[in-house]
Amino acid sequence: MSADFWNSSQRTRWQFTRHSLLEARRKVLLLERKMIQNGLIKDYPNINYDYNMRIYLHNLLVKLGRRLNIRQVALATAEIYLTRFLTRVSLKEVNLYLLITACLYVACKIEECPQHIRLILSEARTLWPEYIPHDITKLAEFEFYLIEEMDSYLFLHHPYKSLIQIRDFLVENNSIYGFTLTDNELQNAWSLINDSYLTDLHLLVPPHIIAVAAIYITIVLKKNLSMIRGNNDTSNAGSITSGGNSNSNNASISTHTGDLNGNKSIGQNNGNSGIQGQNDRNPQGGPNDLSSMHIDDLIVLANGRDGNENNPAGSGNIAANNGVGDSSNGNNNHNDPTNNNNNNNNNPTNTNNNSDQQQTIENTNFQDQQLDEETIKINKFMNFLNHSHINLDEVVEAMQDIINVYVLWNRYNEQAIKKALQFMLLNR
Amino acid sequence: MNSNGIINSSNYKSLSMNLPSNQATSQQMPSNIQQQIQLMNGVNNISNSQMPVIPQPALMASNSILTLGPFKHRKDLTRESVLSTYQIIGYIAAGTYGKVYKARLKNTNKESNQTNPNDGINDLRVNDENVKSRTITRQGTPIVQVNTDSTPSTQLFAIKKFKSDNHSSNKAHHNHDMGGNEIIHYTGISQSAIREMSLCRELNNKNIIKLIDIILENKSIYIIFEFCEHDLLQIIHYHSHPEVKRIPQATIKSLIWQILNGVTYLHQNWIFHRDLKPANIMVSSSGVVKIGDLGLARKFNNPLQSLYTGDKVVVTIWYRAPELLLGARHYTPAIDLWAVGCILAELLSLRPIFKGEEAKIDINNKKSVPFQKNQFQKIIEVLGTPNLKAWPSLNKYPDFPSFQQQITTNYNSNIDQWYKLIGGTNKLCLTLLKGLLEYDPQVRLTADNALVHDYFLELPKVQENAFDGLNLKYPKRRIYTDDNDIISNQQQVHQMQQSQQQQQSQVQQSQQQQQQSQSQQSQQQQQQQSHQSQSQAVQTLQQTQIQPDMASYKRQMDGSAGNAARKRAR
Repeated sequence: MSADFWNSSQRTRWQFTRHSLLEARRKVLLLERKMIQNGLIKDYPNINYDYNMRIYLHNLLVKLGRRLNIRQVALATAEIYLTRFLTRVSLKEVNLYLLITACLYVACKIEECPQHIRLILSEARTLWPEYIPHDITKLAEFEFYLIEEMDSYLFLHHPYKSLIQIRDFLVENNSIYGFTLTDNELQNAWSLINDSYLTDLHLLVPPHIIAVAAIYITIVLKKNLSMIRGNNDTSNAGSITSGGNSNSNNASISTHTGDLNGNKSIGQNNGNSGIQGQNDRNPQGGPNDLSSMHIDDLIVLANGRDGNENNPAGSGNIAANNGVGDSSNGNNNHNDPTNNNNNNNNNPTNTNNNSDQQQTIENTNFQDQQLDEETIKINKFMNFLNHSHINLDEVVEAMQDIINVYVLWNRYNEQAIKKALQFMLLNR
Repeated sequence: MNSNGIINSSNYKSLSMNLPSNQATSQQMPSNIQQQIQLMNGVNNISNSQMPVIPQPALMASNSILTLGPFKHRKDLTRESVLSTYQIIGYIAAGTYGKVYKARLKNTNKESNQTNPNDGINDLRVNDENVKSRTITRQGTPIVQVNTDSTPSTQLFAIKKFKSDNHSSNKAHHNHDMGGNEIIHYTGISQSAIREMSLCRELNNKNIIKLIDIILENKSIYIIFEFCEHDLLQIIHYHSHPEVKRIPQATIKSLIWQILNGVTYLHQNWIFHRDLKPANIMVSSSGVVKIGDLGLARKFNNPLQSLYTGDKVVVTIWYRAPELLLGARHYTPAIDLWAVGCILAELLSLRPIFKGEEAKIDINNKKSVPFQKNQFQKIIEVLGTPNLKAWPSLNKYPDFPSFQQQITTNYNSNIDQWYKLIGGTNKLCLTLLKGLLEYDPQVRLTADNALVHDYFLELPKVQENAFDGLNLKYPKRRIYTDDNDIISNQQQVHQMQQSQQQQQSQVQQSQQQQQQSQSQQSQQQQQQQSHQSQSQAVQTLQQTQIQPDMASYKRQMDGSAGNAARKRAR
């Protein structure tokens, strides 16, 4: 049934458990080894399905989608096809650039915004001329095998719809739950969902879980954000001239791929999400935008957890700043022009932030008990979750996976993948 | 900010540029993340040290670049072909979309396949469950279970083979191989095929045709459905013989109710059918309606673009709702209910109620859709000329000016007279008909409201078997065997495989490890040959006479606007 996730093929045919997913991937590796042994494919030890690769593929897809001005939902569908396909097929037996193109081509048909095969191929060829053959029959052939590999189960349910439904539900039942999502929070949650396609979550949990996790991260982050920044405002006062905010090193997530309304989504956003590996060298400090979220806030959040559990309080913090340090070489470019300006602080500022953030964490812990507006909102949201009978374990899992994306994103090395793929495709 | 500009301009750098390698350090990361990072750094180190020579990229990819060769090869070895699973009896219909074949399961060969342990082939199966699950879907469907007990071979299937969507530009230089056979190239799968595949995979209702399996093989798509012995067109045709009586009220009532039930299910799932007509309403031999042909169906919740942009023309002309004739951009599921109304009228009178002539799309100006004056004329002759009082949004439609210009006569509604003329007596049936043929789509009955219409609540009761109490037997479907292109295609595959095998064997000889898998291939080949000769033998046995009148009638039906709509849908 297509109106209902619970009876959909997405759940009945294509939902994995963590274990079965691991098992499927293990089988692919076994298969790969067998094919290598039989001489059917060559071995390329640098081609692995790790986060580096996934971010690379994600970026390829976004890049092609943006060129064609394709709607966010179709992009999301394409990315799930990609993830599904790679649970059964080895990276080393196909041309990944053509695979990306085929995923998008099929996704556009399913989402009823079809692109002509010639157009999509020529755009892909413009982006990756050395990897995309001129022959449309190759793409058509790939489409065939892609659909076959998914057993022709093509309809998908996405968290975007759940997000809107939850928003509407909260508006309708404001009298019961006493809170609603602001447009900003909605946009931030939307952006988090965009990035969640890097994870396996869409093969593991129902879409509404991902939507709830995105909302939760948004709300919690907002609380932490206002505290972190509030503290910085006082401690930073007069210390550093330009861009002396804890978030000044950060790329904004909120502007990343895909606008809430989906209209012209991709076209409106900046072109280089993590692909080019280059930032504008512009030392000017940008405006401190409290309403947008930032990757490193998420990392602070993630490390805050780990750090408090395993390590002395400071180490998570430093790790976060390490992340910040290399953020200037190409990971966090989902930015609009204003935030872009913030991306490249010189080292003195970094050091400064270091101490700022350390202080912040301490303060955060100290202030945890205080009942501010955000805490009340979080409590209300928790209340709503309790009422909703949503599987909270899954929500927590989803949150961890999503936050982890940003940690890994900071470690992303585009060149390594690019070179490995170049080696594989051109050196056969 | 113009993103295209960014991508077009200097930001895209050639791959040969050396950008700084990863500067990530992993000294003080929390342990769990650290591991992951070490893994990734490991990759980087290798890439830097072991690959000192990066090949300079060719300016443009040649056609010989890796696409999916190894993967494709692996899949082709393990695929269960249509002909190894099904035995083709003959074809039952042909149209612009392709052909529909009648087939039965080939169970004996299947078992022998399974008992043949093919190690090499099994080796290449990623997920054995996948293969198994397909077998289960084929055999585990409820219908199969009902029939399999004693004679499994009685289980029948309808296999729809889509014509590959060759664009006209390609037709100029058709390629032929040495034997003069046309070589079919992969082209994109048509929107219509992909809709039918993806929708039928999700749908599960007893009044919607049940999909058994989808096989993508040899550049063709085969959708395997449950087989239905009858369809409404055939039933209407049967009753229009002068010596046969009209369709009994009780049967009509059950048929229409089941159609509405199926349509309700579709609409609840945010799908509209957009091509309801008697030819697309199947009826099983046990009198259960199965709505088929979802090639024009699509989801309508939250469309990314206006429905009109996707398909300019939908629904076969005789069943096309007035708002569509007026060029509605954002139409509603009510268009399906209009078609159901037309079908009800046709069941009652045994001929299409609005049998208009389609104004063809101008070949020189394919973008503009002509106003269907004749069709509209037929409608108003029965239902009266619509006015703003009965249909307040009438003047909001894009083609309202054409309507005003071209429809000048003012008719009153003649539906009561029409009903009397065709010998209708049941008052409630007439109100249902009027409710379905309401001009204003907002006033027209919805599918779920129609389901509980008073007509269905009075006696005789709606039956699950629409043929209950019927003392006649509808003829079975004609089977045509003159041109079976699954066979001919298979021969082509066969030839291709032979040449492939020759190539392969050359490669394999050089590698010398492959002897085992080679012998398997030839085994497979032999199997295929035997399948082929078997099915051909069956064919010659089952040659039946072709009745030309039925065929031409079907073609006539099929050849009307449905085709145009379908062509557009691609």
